[in-house]
Amino acid sequence: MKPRIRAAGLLIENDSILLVKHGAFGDVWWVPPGGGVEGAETFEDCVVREVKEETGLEVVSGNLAYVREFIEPAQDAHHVELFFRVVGKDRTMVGKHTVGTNPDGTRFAHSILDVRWITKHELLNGFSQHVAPEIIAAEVFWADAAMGFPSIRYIDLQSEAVR
Amino acid sequence: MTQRIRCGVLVVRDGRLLMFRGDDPEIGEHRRPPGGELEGPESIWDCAAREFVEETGAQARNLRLVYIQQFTTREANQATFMFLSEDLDGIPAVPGAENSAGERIHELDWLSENELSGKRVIPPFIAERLFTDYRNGFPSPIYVSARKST
Repeated sequence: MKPRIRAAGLLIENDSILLVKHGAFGDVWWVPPGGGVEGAETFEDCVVREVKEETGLEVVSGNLAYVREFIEPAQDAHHVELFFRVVGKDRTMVGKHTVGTNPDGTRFAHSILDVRWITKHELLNGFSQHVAPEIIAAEVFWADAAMGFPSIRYIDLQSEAVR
Repeated sequence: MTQRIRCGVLVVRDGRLLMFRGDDPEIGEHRRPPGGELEGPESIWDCAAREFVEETGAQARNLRLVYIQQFTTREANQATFMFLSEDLDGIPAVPGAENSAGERIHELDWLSENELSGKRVIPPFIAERLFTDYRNGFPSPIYVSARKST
């Protein structure tokens, strides 16, 4: 099983978070923009690059907020994913995103279907589609966000419980 | 460029930190905490606990995640997870003259803050800040970035 390091960005404004919609095999899920670390880049550079690629937005990486592990059996991969708080280079990022493209201008073949700001209210009131990590749809996430993610939390491998 | 995920255990008791003394043709004599690389689907917590048993024969209990560090070399981009334990079951001892990576391990020492400073420690941030952070009680895990501070 291959160890894989990923980094993703938590961009939050006005009680909304920017999420990317992925889909494959009839399933869809919303996740913060992010992806695998490339070469010797820093985790923070990875976050900035991935947010740009997937949403078109220029952001600056802030503090580390969550560490999550998950297994992807199809890729025989054990992922460790680091979620960083990110802030826009401009005063507000709302209304400025695009749906990510590959460097050659083509849409990501595998999966990006949409990019959207999703409100805390939607997420805490039975958002109908799958969100990962699940903590984004929990009160604790929005309490952490309101304080700027003051403490790094670990999200459990199996249960997604936080410790 | 390969990716590596490594987990280590920092055991502190009576103001002393448990460290291996190693010798290696490339890096020379150095100190490092017990630990090793993630294997299969185990969690980083299970990895830290397993490596500690394998390397010392003792069990480190009540692990707390205290450091997340990025470390890069010419060959690898690595995430390191360091856990703190103040609760040992058994007496740590070196089971063999070599560990699985073929590094020669001479002995385990309990090092005070003074004894640790000035020694070659891998990773170096342990020597620079562990005892200070320990006194502060680790209210949160600490991220040690590879980004150049500006």
